[in-house]
Amino acid sequence: MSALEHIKSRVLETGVLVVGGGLAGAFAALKAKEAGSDNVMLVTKGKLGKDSISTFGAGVFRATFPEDDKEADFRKYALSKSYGAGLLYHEEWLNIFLDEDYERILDMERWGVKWEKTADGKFERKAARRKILMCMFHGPQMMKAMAKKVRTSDIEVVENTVITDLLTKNGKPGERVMGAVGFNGRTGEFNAFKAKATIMAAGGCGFKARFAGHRFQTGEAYAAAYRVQAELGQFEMGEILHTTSTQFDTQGLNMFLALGGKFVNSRGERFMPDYDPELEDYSSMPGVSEAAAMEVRGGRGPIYLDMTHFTPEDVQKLRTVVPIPTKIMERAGVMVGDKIMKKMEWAPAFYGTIAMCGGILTNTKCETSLPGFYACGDAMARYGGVYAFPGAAISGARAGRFAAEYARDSEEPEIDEGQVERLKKFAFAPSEREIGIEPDHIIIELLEALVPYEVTIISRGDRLEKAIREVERIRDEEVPLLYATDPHYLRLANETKSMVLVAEMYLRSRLLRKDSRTSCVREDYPYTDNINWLKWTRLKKENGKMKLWTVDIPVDKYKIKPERERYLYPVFEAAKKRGIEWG
Amino acid sequence: MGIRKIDLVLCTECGICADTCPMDVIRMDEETNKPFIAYLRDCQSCFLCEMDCPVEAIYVTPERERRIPLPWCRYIAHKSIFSLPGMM
Repeated sequence: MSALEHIKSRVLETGVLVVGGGLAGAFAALKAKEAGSDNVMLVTKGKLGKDSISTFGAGVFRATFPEDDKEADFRKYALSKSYGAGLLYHEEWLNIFLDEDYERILDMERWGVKWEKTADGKFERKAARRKILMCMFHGPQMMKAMAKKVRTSDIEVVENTVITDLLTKNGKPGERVMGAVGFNGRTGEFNAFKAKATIMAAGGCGFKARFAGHRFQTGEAYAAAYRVQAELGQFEMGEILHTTSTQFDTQGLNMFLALGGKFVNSRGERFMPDYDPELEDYSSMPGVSEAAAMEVRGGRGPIYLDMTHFTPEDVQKLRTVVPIPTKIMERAGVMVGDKIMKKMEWAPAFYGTIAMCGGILTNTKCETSLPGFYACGDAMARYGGVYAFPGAAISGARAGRFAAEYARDSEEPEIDEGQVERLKKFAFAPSEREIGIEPDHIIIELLEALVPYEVTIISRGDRLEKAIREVERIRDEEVPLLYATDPHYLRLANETKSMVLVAEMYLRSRLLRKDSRTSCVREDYPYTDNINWLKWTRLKKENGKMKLWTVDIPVDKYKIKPERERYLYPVFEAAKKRGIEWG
Repeated sequence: MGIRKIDLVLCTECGICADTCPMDVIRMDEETNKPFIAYLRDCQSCFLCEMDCPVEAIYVTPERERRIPLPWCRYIAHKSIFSLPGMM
């Protein structure tokens, strides 16, 4: 433990502090600069450009172009029964999204991101999941270009630093946020950041489960916001229930489907046409996961993705747009030369809050419930249509702009020394113990409680409660015993703490919702209830406990309204049709 | 899964691999200035180290390094461990 005996400390000051260096954070920092902020600092957990899930984006980015039919796109995102956060859309955000996403693509191009173009120089767009048109970029080149732009724009970059908590006025929760604290995961140096405005862009929580590229995203954003009593919500809406090979992790499903990949069960049958007659294999990710889970329930597992019919041109497109998945398939013997040799066993990859789910609650200026505190990207509570890369770009840009405005006129921030000391002790506690439990032990237990399909794909109240009891046990008996032998393990220990907290938020929110929607499906409440359940869930820390409640969605004020009806959630209809029993 | 090999003969000690890895798997040995695999279990097989190495000294396999549960048991066609008697 000698590495941690002498903890070096330092205090850094800035105007706008951006926590997180993915697409959302990069946009926030750059737009804060554009809005005239002199002092912008970006703190990130690893190396800028490499350490967020944005690096692993498999090449597709949705955008509504000026010549598109905006209202048709609005309806596509908002009113479909099988996606769009199950009709819980936020009208103001969705309109902003449709208005501003094209501008963000142009920003990125200006900043050096390469987009696929047609022969006559226009943006090439391909229809993928949900038959929505997507622009294509070149994998990791996107964040490489964004990182370079950030570094050359007079933005101070602090790397290898995990932010563990927020600083508030007088050191009290529920007050104006005046910065953050964290430590360097390689050297163990403790850092306190004093800032006029703080933007939380530190991503979501993937729980270190299956799927590539998100194992660094462990929910510090939500944990820090929760502890200062900011409002959060919508954690049951984890719409991106991704799927991947059971043998290895690979992104790129959007591209695989765009080129004609199909899902089959153990009998070799395509099943998606029954579960989603409109979109078939292009169904939303939760649609595919729910269908696959139901097929397994019916004894027809495992599930496969079949791309054996791809042409050499299709395979070449994969090489250009998704180079990492291509390499993975070659190493695993699935792709040989310009041919896909075999179908791949496929399964849902529990994806937590990555890309689409709840998070820290914001208005459309990305302001949270605490002054001086903003959230964007996966750290923010997202809505139907407003998520993943376009959500990160648009919300990041807005957070940067409005935080810069706030910082210009706000009072000087002050650090409360007592709070800094307390938070330092809290972050370093695992390194003070002589013996204890290592992070991996808890991580596996957590995943065993979250990943089974009867808990988080087709759930039921009693199983959710069982899982919550298990998370509470881990929280009360094991987390206090976490120990770390060096700064790397200290970071893992803090990540584990965050994950346990987010697991509780996730499961309790699912238990609260008593109907079935995209990615929040319950056998005991198998109906989508748009009469009683057009609501958003909310949560916050109060009196030391996690308090949850719901708010009504103001649909009566919406221009385009969902039908006030109640219907059996589609996966249960399809199960009936396919002779599979549930309940 | 994960990083399997760093060829120290090909290695030019540029340090890019240690810098690039988002999971802090690779560190540079202070004396020899060569990279070593410090935290293998955290490797997520993202391939960034292999792609960024300028002399192709690194080899990564796609199989997983740590145990991660599947949503269902492969061999019990309609159950997950959650449904087994006595589970939790």
